[in-house]
Parts: sequence; C-alpha cells; structure tokens
Amino acid sequence: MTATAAQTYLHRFAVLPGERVVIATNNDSAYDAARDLAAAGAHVILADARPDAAAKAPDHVDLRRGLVPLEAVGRKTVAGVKLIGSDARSGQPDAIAPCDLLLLSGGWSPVVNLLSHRGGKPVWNRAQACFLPGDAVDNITVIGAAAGCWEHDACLESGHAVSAVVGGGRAVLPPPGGWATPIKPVYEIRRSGASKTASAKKAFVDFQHDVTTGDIRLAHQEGFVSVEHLKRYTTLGMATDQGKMGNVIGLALMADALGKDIAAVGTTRFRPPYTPVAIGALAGRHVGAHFRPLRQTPLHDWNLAHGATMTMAGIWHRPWYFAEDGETISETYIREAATVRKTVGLCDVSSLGKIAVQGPDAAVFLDRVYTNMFSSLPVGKARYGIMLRDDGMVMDDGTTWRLGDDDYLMTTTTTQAGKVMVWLEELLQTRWPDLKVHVSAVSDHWAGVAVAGPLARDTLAAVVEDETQLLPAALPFMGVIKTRLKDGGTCLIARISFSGELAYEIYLPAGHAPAAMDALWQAARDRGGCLYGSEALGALRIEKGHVTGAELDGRVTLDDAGLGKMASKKKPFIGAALRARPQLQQADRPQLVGIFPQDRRKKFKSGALLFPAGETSESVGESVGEFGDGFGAGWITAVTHSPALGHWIGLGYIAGGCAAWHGRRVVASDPVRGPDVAVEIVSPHMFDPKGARMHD
Amino acid sequence: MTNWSSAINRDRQPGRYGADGDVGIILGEIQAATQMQFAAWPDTLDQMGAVAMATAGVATVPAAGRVSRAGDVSLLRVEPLKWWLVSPAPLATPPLVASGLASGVTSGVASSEVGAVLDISDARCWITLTGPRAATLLAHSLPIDVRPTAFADDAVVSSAIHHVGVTLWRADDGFNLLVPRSYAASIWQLLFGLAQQYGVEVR
Repeated sequence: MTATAAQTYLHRFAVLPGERVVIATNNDSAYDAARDLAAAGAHVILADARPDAAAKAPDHVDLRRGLVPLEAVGRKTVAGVKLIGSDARSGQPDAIAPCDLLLLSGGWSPVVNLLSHRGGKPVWNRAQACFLPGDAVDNITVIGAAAGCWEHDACLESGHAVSAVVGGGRAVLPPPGGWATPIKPVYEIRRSGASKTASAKKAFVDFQHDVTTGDIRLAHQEGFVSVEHLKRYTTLGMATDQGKMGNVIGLALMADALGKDIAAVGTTRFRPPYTPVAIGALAGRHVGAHFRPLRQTPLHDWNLAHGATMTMAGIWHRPWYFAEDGETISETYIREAATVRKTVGLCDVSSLGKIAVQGPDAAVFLDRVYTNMFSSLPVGKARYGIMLRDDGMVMDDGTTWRLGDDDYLMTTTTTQAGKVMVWLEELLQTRWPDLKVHVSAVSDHWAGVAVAGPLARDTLAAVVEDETQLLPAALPFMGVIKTRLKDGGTCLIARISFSGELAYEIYLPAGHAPAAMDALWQAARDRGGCLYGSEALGALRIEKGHVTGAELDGRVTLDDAGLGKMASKKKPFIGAALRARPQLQQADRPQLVGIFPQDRRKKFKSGALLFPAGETSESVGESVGEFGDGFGAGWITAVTHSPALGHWIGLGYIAGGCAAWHGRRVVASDPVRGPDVAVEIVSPHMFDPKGARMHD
Repeated sequence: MTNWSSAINRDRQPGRYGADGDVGIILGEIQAATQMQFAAWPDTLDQMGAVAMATAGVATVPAAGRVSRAGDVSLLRVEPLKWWLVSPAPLATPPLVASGLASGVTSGVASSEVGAVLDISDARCWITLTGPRAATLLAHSLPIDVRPTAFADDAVVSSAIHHVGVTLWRADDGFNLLVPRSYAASIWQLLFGLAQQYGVEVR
C-alpha cells in the first residue's frame, strides 16, 4: 500500500498494518511515515532511491540510501523485498529485506482536477516530477499542496499571500517544492543495462486496472502515440482512482518509448468526479419499480379492486384479464371474448394516445397527415385514419373525432402516442409553420372505456341522462356525441368498434372515471356482461382482422395491410410520393392474411414463419424452391383461440396475400419451439366479414 | 365535480413521516382543480393574452416564465404561445371558449382565428410542496436551480422529474407542481420517499 495509507491506518484507526515494514521512496515525504510507524513500534527499513538523500535518518529507522525495490518475495503474503542499487554508480549489492509490509511512496501529484474541469491545462514540472496548475483560469488562484508546495510553512505562506487577491492585488506565491533533497523520478525498476522487454516479471503501473509496463510499450508498438489513445487502449487511469496512482508513470513510460519529454506527451483531461462515487448514488431512486416511471390509467385502482391481472404495455399498466375463481388466463380471455360477442363487455382503453388538434387549419393539417380525408368529416363524426412516414410506410393508426369546425380529437395507438405527438409538433414547427394549428397531448385528461357487445347500447342507456341520444338515428355508426351522465358528469361517446360488435368508447374526464365505471359496471353486470382485458381485446380484434402494432411494424405499406383504399387520390399527404415506389407496388410483397390450422384441433405460434409445404425451414440449407432462403414466404404476427370460430386463428403476412395461396398447402414453422403445423391461408376478416354486427 | 377521484388516492396518506424534529416538507394535493389552456397564434398573442387575462381575472398578462395571480387563480405562461389557467375552484366567470363538443362551456367569444381554448382539468395532478426544505427536495429531483435568487416568486418553468415533464411554479414561499396524471402516483412515491429524510407531513 502507499506510505500515507499506512499512516492513515495508524492515526485514524489505531491500527499498525505491519510489524516489519519496508518503505520504498524517492522523496522526503515518506520520512514522516517512517518516523510514525517506528514510533508506534514497527521495525522500519526506509529504502530511499536517492543516494544523496538526507544525512539523518528518523529515530529508530533503518535508512538505506540508493536502493530501489526490484521485486516482492513471498507466497500469498509478502515475506521480503529484493532491493537493488538505484543506478550503476550506487555500488549497492542485492539484498532481500525481510518484511510483512511493503509501502510505496513515489511523490505527489497535486489535485489539478478541479482546475482541469474548468478548462485549465496542467503543466509538467520537471523538477517536482508532477503536473502543476498552468495559467490562471477565470479568477482562480491555486495555493498550498495543490500548487506543489510540499512543506507546511510554504502552504501557510501561500494561504496568506492569496489574501492579497481579495483586496484586488496580486498574490506572490512561494515557488513549488520544498523538500530538502529533490525528488528522484522512478518510473520503472530494472537492473541497469537490462533490456526493457527481457524481464518475465510483470511490473504494474495501474494497480486497479492491472496495466503493466509491458502494456504501455505494447500500446506504443501498436501505434497509439497520443495519451488519449494510450488511455483507451490500455485502460490506464480508467479505474475508480482515475489515474491518481499510475498515470504519471504511464505517461513517463510512453514518453520514454516515444523518445520525448513528458511535457511533450501531456496528460489527459481529468473528468469528474475526483473522488469515486458509487453507481448506486448516481442511480439514486431510479431502481426497482422506479427504474422507469410507471403510467397508470385513471381506472388503475378500480381495475385492481375488480380482480384485474395487470400487464405492461410500454410503461403503461393495463388490465390483462379478469379471472374468476380458479380460471387460467386462457379460460378467462375466452370467456371474456365470448361474453362480449354475446352480451356486453367493458374494457379500460385509457392508455390510447389522445391529441387535441385545434385551429382554423386543423382540417387542412389532418388532410396532410392522414392518407384519407378529414376535412370532409362532419362535426359529430369519427373516422379511422392512417398516417404514413415520409418513406411511405405506415406509422400509426386510430380514429379521429371531429368535435367542432376547428376542433378534432385524434386518437393514436398506446405505444406510438408520444412519437405521433412529436411528429405533429415537428411538422407544425418546421414544415408548415404557416398553419394555424395547435396540438395538445390530452391522453391523461380522458379516461376511455370500450363498451362492446350486442347489449352495449342498452348498458350505456342505463348510465346516461338522456338515452334517446344513443338511438341509432342520433348516434349512428362512427357518430360522436357529448352528453351527460346521470350523476351529472359530462362525457364524450363515440360509436366505434375494435371488437366488431355494436360498440362505443366513452371518454370521461379522468377524475370522474372511477365513479362512472361503477355505474357502467353495475349496468353491464345486470345484463350478464363482463370486464375484459387486453388479452380478450386481442382475441376479438384478431377475429376481425384489425391491425395493431404487431402488424404495423414499420415495414408495412398501406397495400400490404390491405388498407390501400384508404389512400386518397384527391389530395396529397405525407408518404404519398414514396409509397408509389415500384418496389412497394410489387404484387408479391407480403400482405395481411388470416391463418387457420388445417386440423382445427391444432394450434400454432406467433412468430412462426410460413413456408410452402415441403420447403420448411429445416430444408433451408438445401435451398429448395422459391422460398428456400430461410425467410419463408411470410410470418405470423398474432394468434389466439377464437371463441367465435371455436379453433385457433392467426394474422400474418405472406407473399402475394390470400389470393396467391388459395388452395395451396402451407406450414407454420417454428422449429425451436415445436413441430411444423399445416395451415391454410384465409382472408384476414375471419369473423363477420361484412361488419353486420357493428352496424345496426 | 362530485365523485372526483385523485390519481394519488392510494399513495397520499395524510400524516407525519420520516425524520424526527421539525417538519422539513409539507406535501399536499389540490384536487378537482380547473385547468385550462389558452393558445394564441403568433399574430394574435395580445388578443388571446387579453382573453386569458380576463378569464383568470388577473391584472396583467404574464410574460414568458412568469405567473399572474388573483386570489386562488393563477395564469401561467407555459410556452411562447400558451397560457395555462389553474384554479382550485371552478371559475366564477365561464371561460370564453369557442363552441364545440370539446369545450367545457360554450359561450363562444374567442373564435378559432384568435386562438384555441382547451379544458385540461384532469390531465395533471396538482401537487404542493411547502416547508423549509422544499427547495432542497426539488434539488434532488429537478435539473434546475430553484433557490429564490434563481427562481423567484411567481416564476414558472417546464422541467422534468424522473424523465417526466412537469410544470413548476413558486407562489407564497411554496412550490406548485403539475404532473401528468398517469405518472402522478410514480412521481408522488418518488418525492415522498425523498422527503422522509427531512421529516415530511402529508396533508
């Protein structure tokens, strides 16, 4: 350890770290440590590299001049130190000094780190063998040991001198140094005349990162001549001590290899912190449940109180399923989805993104952002919209409601809400700053509840003040109204359907949602309804062939997703030009399809690849057939057991789409997880394809 | 509104927690507040500012980063073109709002050519932080200097706690924080946990 570490053990903890101590030094400061340890009862040998060191040894210290430690001796613990002459002239014979503690003292490097953080450049001082503060930065004056004053009195003097600065004068500081015998730089110890590379013994420069003298020379041989590169190649000085122990030695060795002076090699810039900081302190409270902030819907507590098992959707907590006594997740979602098709179900859809789009140019703006027309949407109506990226790929989808002439409420998918908001802001600020449109995130203002199923209208009628507003004439498919609940709260109701059933989404000011949900649940339960979570929501939408993020994964065009008709020919929109690229128009691009198992008792998995029968992934190496490149003809994006159809179904993409595979044998291949399953390719609209159920 | 539920109902349990001695921090929530956004166009800043000022009943249109107050009602300049009106109670005068399904009240005065008004009352949870160590607590969490010299009375700023965008303003030696409602429980837990070392009272 270092000589001062032993002093600290002694003075701060009253521990004598060794009884037979060898201190190897090249400067005066180790004499204090030697004196203190000897006074505490240790037998101390002070090996000073300087043949001309001070004449007088401290009391009870065995001072040996002109000696340096070549190697430590002993197994598991140090038993002695081999001392050799510090230069050829010393004439000292080799000797092994027995010991149980070896202390090192190699001189001092002033703490120039803070100054370096301020942009000051440390300057090499050859006489003191250290970097000292360079030119003054700002109005900072460096004094004491930080300025290279080694002696107590000089430190005090520099402190007094600096008081002149406070009065507006100039500080006349004592010069650096102050040792009776100047320091003798010792960067590497080898026998005089010995080759630099011959020794098989390792000599460590950076004790924490195990960087050796050999590593420094290797870095030089590899061509790393800059100290910055040396540092990164060897990791010298990158441990928690940040080079306090080894950097100067490493720089000296590099300078030696380059045939330069240390001043010419320079030093790396010091980085904060000066003292090591535990990673835990930096992490602070961002651990465990707070590793990321969690988002909860306004119905979070309500859902938990009603038996929800939660799942994560991004950083949102969403209800996954509402199991009844002893039900598994599969039993639960199948029951929930079946109940929605039979009576009515309620689902918390609050996590959907919601953006208020306001202003006289709102309609123009939406016409540009969406592929389809929104300026023609009447007030009090909703429309499903798709927006593309500039490159013509699908970015996001959702319904947007026209609440007033210049007032729209856009909904986005849960996961893309932030991205869409940023995109709209960017468009308004950089591309179309002339448009008078404000977009405001209102996802958190509104709670959303889907009320879906044949008894959805009946259920809603039980909670609204004026149920005639729900009649098909007043609220047709894709209609939107603002209305009042029986308890006096206001809400928006849109007649839109993700499940394919007669369905509504009711938007409530978030604080009012739990109370309103109590009333809704009472009404739904009275009608044999259920609560359903994201698992049943997924089953219902897969049956209908409705796309989500799994299908709109950023690689998909409108046509791929079977939504080509949503591209308006009457107006330009973002992505209109690049979606027309020939490559994106090819008929054999993967297109959205539905998937049934041939044997209806079988199931298959999301993520499986689709191959023509006889060309499964196992035969990829032989590269047979058109799709023998290992990527298959397509892939499966989503699967579920369909309560409505009574067997497993899936959605996916396959080259050429449904028409190209009619009557052909296809297998879903997922060799890591199970055997191939023979499937047939069908229309993605697997249930109620004409949508009769969600209309009147 | 009756039947209103807070986003931090479960987490905000009134009482005295943490270190003994003097209470360093008092955490509270202002529930069921009115929050309304007034947004101008670049050429209607003065007109819309006047609408916001009149609705809030304050004497001046606050400049960037400033708050104007009258009684309990505060008008915050949160963006170059936007003000937020926040009030613990419903407004005495109905806001001057363009007609439409979205508006809370429909007494159309400010046409969309002047600007846009939006009810955002339930979008954010209003947390109050007072007590002698409130600034210290915020220093743990916010990347800005909230000492009085840098963040005086009636200063407002948009910043972030735990990567969540928040709006903070100082009034009457205390701090007010608007946190997006869906994140409010998470942020409250964080602040409450940090506050305990200074002795915290939850109201």
